[in-house]
Amino acid sequence: MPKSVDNALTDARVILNDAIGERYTDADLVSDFNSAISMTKMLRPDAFKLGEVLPEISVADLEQVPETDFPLPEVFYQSFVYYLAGNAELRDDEFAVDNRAMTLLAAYRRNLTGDLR
Amino acid sequence: MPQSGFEDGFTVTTSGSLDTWVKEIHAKVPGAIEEYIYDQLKLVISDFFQRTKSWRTFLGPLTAAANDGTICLNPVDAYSNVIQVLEVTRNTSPLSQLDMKSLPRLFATENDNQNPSRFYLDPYHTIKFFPVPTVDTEDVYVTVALTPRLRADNRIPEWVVEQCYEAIKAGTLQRLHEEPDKTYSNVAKAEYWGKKYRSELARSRSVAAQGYGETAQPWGFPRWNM
Repeated sequence: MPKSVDNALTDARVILNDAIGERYTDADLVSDFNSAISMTKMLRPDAFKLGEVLPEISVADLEQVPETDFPLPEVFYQSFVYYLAGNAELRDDEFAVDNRAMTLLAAYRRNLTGDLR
Repeated sequence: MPQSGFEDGFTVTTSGSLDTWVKEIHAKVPGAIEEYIYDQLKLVISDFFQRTKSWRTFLGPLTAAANDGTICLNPVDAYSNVIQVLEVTRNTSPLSQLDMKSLPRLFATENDNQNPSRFYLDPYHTIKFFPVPTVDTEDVYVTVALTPRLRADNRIPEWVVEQCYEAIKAGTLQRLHEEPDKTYSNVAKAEYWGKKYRSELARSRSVAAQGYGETAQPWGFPRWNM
């Protein structure tokens, strides 16, 4: 089944241990999602059409029927989940969480540009 | 995502699919975007035929209209394009090709406008007779090199898949591996596939130049003891 933007936010919240969305609002995560798109354009321009305006997601695109499609090839889906979770964790100030944020953001980057093994 | 620089779909009845390559190539470059592999494949196919001229055929009889003297070869048919004119023949004699730089000089001296004996190319697939004939120039035959038309439906003539599979696979893998900062970036592999591609280019060029007959005699060390 094709992945959706809603799926990405839900999966990120599992990592964040915030399944009901108390600490991280939809607006926060959607904003991170848009950052992930522009960051991915920088790292993997081959995933985008030449001259295409970058897709931009808004909170209104969530909980639609059918759900809003994940806007990039699905091989990037898990990387986006890592990016959302990592970026969200950056906002907390406890040291242990900072470490997790770095691990998640590194996983995002490695999945896009690094050695998969 | 697919780039839009390719023509819209058109399917010939006996055609092969680029999918034949994509499955194997994808297995060798995990992390590559499928549509991007298709784009790279098409670029390699185009490059391969440009550099080898390994798809040759002759066309004719063609006619150039009086007072025009031009034969435009493209579009030659639904699934191929002319990339180079190799020879132009009329009344069983090959015509000689002019250097465009010499045209201004020749305009003053040529006066046989019934039987043009020379031609120039403007651009690579448009034949212009010189001097411009005042009557129709008939029975013109041309030998040309072709390239497959690359279309959005990813279909090409089947023989290309059968005859050029390894060469085009090698060229595509070279291009993909040499890209920087990808999960599949690998300079050593790019060099390996690049060598294979170049070797296939030389082989295909040689086979075509010999009319698809026996391949060229392979080079070997001279034997002194025979």
